[in-house]
Amino acid sequence: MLRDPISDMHSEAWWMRALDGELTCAEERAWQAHLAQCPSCRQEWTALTQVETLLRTATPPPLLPDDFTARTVTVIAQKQKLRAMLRFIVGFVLFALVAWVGLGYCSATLHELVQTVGAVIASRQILFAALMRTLVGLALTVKTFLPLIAGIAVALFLFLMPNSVLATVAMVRLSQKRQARSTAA
Amino acid sequence: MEEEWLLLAQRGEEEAVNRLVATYQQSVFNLCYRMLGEYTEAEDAAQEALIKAVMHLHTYDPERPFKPWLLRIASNECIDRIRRRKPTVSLDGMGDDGAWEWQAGHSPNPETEMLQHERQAQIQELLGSLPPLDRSIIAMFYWEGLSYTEIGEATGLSVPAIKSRLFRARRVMAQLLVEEGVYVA
Repeated sequence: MLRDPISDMHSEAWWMRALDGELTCAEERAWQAHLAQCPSCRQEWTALTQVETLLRTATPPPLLPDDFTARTVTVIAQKQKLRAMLRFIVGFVLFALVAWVGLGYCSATLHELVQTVGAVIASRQILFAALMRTLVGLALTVKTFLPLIAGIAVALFLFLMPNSVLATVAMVRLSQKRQARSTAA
Repeated sequence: MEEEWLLLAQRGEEEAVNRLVATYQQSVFNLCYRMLGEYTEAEDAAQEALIKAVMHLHTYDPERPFKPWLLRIASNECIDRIRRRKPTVSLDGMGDDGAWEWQAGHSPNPETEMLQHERQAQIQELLGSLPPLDRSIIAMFYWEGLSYTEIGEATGLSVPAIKSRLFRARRVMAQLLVEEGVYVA
């Protein structure tokens, strides 16, 4: 059953269904009856069906030339090669760029390392020279005060020597002196 | 089977690329020819579309049908070409070279040849009155045998939108037929 036959038939949805052959038998009968009565719908419908026939029976477009496939495949192969080459070049440039940055960083770090090691070595030499100068100075200073140091050492030795040893030494010296006097007499 | 050589073509295998081009070139050309209405330009557009398709095969989703994807590229190529055209360039009929190609066709009967040429020119004139996207929809529906869903895949429109555009395009062409007096009551 049609809700409102005339307004339904003038709607785009109805025309689309009619053109696509989707109307039921009852709708188709009602549609044909409407077309018989409505000149504007009939004119448009006829024109539309003519367009439909024209499009459906259109002669196919001319064929492509025989060498079309070969030409197209050749161009594709060239473009693929070009793309591969571009990819290689871009990859190489990127690699070179990364390598350049990396090497630059490494070089800077190496330079710093060399400088640090150089500074350490130089410091060691300076320290060694200072040490040597100090030792030489000390040696010279020790030579100047050597008799004093030796006297102090002897004095300390004597001062700290045990009494029995001193008494023994004194007795030996005295007996040597007596012997010498008696020999002389 | 098709999936296999599409996969091989994606990897750049020349034999598979050759097969892909040979299989779809005429469909692509037909769409371009219907949209552009000129043999030489359609041939160039078809070649460009096939090249673009092969070069962008990595973006194709194997889960979806291939032909709508390919025709979408061809349609976009034609739309770009139509936009680049100068406004003074008319779309009616075929170009001089197109007419020449047609006259040098296969039919031995000059009258039939002439009639076909006239119908072809009439179709091109009708198509020329439509926006490029509608031309593409008409060509895919009537001459490439794509379903509404596949046309939706190719154009990015919904099925109701496709149906509506298709109907309106046919209505525009029908009105043109009435205006030009070609319509037979």
